[in-house]
Amino acid sequence: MQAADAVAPVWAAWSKAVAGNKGRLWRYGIWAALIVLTLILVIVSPSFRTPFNLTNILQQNSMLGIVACGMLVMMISGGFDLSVGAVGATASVVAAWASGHAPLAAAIVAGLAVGLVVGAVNGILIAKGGINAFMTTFAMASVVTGLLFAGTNAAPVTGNAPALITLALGRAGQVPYAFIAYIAVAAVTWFLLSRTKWGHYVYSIGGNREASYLSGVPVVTTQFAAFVFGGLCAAFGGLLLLGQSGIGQPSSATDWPLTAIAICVIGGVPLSGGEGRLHGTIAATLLLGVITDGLNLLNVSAYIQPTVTGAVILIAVAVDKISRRRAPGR
Amino acid sequence: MEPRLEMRDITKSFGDVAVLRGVSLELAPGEIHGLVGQNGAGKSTLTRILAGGHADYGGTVRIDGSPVRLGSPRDAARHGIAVIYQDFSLVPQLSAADNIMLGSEPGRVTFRAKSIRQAAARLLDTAGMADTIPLDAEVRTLSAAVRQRVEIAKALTRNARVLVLDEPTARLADADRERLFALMRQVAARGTALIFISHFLGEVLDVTSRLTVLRDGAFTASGQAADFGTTSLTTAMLGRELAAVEEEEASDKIRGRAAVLPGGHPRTPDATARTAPGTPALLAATGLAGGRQVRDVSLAVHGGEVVGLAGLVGSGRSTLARMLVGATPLREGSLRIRGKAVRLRSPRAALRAGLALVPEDRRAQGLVTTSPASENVVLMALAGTGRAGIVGPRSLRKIAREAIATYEVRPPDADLGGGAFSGGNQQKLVLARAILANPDVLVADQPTAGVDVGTKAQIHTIIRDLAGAGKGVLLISDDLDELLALSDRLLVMRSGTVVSEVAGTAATRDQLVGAMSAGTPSTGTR
Ligand SMILES: Nc1ncnc2c1ncn2[C@@H]1O[C@H](COP(=O)(O)OP(=O)(O)OP(=O)(O)O)[C@@H](O)[C@H]1O
Ligand SMILES: [Mg+2]
Repeated sequence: MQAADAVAPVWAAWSKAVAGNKGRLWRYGIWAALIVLTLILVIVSPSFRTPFNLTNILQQNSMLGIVACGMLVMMISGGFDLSVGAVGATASVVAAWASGHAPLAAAIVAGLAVGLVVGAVNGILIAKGGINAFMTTFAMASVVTGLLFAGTNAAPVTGNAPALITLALGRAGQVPYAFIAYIAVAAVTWFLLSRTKWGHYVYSIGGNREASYLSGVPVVTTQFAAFVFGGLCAAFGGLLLLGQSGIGQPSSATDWPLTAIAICVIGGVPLSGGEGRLHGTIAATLLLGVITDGLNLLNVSAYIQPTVTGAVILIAVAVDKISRRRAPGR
Repeated sequence: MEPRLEMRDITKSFGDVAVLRGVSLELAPGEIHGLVGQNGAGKSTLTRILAGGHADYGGTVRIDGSPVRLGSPRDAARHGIAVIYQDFSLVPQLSAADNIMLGSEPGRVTFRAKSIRQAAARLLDTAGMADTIPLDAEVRTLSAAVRQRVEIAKALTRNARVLVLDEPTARLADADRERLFALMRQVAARGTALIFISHFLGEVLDVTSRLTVLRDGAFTASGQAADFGTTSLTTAMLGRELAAVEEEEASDKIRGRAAVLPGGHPRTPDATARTAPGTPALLAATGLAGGRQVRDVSLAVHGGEVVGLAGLVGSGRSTLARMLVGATPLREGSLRIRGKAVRLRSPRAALRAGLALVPEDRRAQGLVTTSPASENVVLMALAGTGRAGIVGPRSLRKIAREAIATYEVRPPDADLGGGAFSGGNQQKLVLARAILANPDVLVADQPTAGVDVGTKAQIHTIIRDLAGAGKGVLLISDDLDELLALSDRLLVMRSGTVVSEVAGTAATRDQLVGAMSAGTPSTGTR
């Protein structure tokens, strides 16, 4: 009841804003979903609206947000990456192990190197070898996970990286460091996508690879770099993962690939590539975070939570789809 | 003087199929060289080699005397070769400006959308094409003709030493065509050598100084354009004479381009196949509005008639065609099929109701380039039957093979991927596909874009035969001679609505041009 009452004025205001902008705001449909849902929760749940909880949502979703930034770039280029989870877990384990034997900086470099190497191999196979992204990254995830389990005997590796723990769990006043890291990665991604030729080419090869090739766009290097960037983002996510618990856990992060892909799709990136905006991905990341948090606070049974999450995703995507139809120029 | 471009003994095979067998070509600076040949002769393959798109060609290429190896598009660009491709090589999601500048954006690492737009606008200005392209619009929202302009602009702005134009006029209306020729002459005057490919033999003879004829991937003739006429050119292309073309020769002299003479096809005699008076029209539309600008369109297509739809680029013809088959929603108005009111929500529903569309852009809307020809050809027939999936692969292949034989698709290989056919042959596949669905009314949007003279005459016969069999055809074409030759009635569209109707036999070219352009200037987008 309450919820419905709360939505009506918001929706009316939104529609009015949209009408006033000749439909341009419709492109931000996913933000509307996020705002509406947040407002509903703010109204119905006192524990949701505490500053600590709200910032907590930011903290907990920053890691996946960073992974999704990488996924966004790969998906716009016309691919995607199923090995981000394996990369994240491996990076956290490698960094944990290295932090026990070497200075922290070396441990961080070692963790990121995992992403760099796996991303580069993916990139070569997909961009140069022309093997499809599904096969390549699916196989790569197996290979990497297998090596990881063999190397660790499936046992967690305890790290010694207090700085990473601070990064993952610490706060500057109310603002979590993890969220600052996320914003930094998002800013870099935004800059690369919209202010560099490489980013422009990522869009163009995703839109029409052949036409880009014939126009002199370096399609292979562009897509290769997209996968390297994706690998690096996944590895950075792995470092945060290590920071959250202080141990490198080989069996962690298995849900990253599909969640990150889902985030991008909810944020408006088609699986065929060629388009997609960072702001959509950010909104989608936060949307998923708000849903999870809200369900927990409302004491929704853990069994039914996935159903609710799935339903909300479907609604968000539907709203977005309708928005796009109304957007001008379609 | 050293030739600007020299190609010697160029060969190229796909698997064990030799597509080019020792082609040689020489172009002086400032020369406009015509390249003609039947669909599938190898013209586009030669173009692609020059563009650096087939690294595995045989033979040598020299530019200004020095041998070059064209291993990639970057190589080609570095040696000053620019190409306008037959089928659009644009990125649909990017803006027109982005496409024009693609691959040669200013700056090294960083880039600003604004500077790209400015650079594109400047280049358009110098090319005399300012305001002909909406620079900020995404290419996928543009009509085929405007996309063609983008493609032309893209190549013209590269400051090339050699410029290859592969059928740039296949989708252009008269005004654009003249503008393009003027641009070509301007570019040639700067010393650039141009290769011009077209199936409009009249315009090839007009525009070029020398020409080369290809047949089945081999050189068959070359010489001064002045020494050829459309008849001798056709004979050289086909290796035989084409009866219909003789008539064209005469009309060509008047119009400057090839087409079938008005009256070249017998109109259906009123009494026989034509619907008896009183029976409802096969397709009747009342007060249609939709898309960006189509409004208040009423028309009828009766059994046994070809209704021509003339109009400038941007007059809304393609949108109307899409509305008729349910691909673009109707905002207002109603449709009747055989007198019964229908509401078509999709092309599939239209097929069931007996309406099929041949779309204007075969590459983007028509053909599934990755599927074999056989599947492409039966696609619509399947959607039309409503038989849920259970069709024997054997019978499908049989249908497909028959169609490939009927329409003389080259090569006659039902298993070849749709994208591996030459442009004209893809067009035949798309047309065959629509006709195989056995529609009562065929809506054909530019059905002869890019097909050679022989095939064009054949498609014209097919269209008249459909009418002869009591079907209706709504024919959209930029080729006024084609419209005049085939239509029983002609409708003229302007700014989204039908402004006049004339009987096909009574209409003249001047009358049409007048009706199409009166008052309103041509707009940029559809
Ligand atoms: N990728 C490919 N694989 C196999 N065969 C191909 C491929 N590309 C082209 N061909 C074949 O090469 C031949 C020449 O094709 P091309 O496109 O050069 O013809 P064209 O002269 O440009 O014809 P059109 O006038 O129809 O455009 C055709 O028989 C075509 O089927
Ligand atoms: Mg061709």
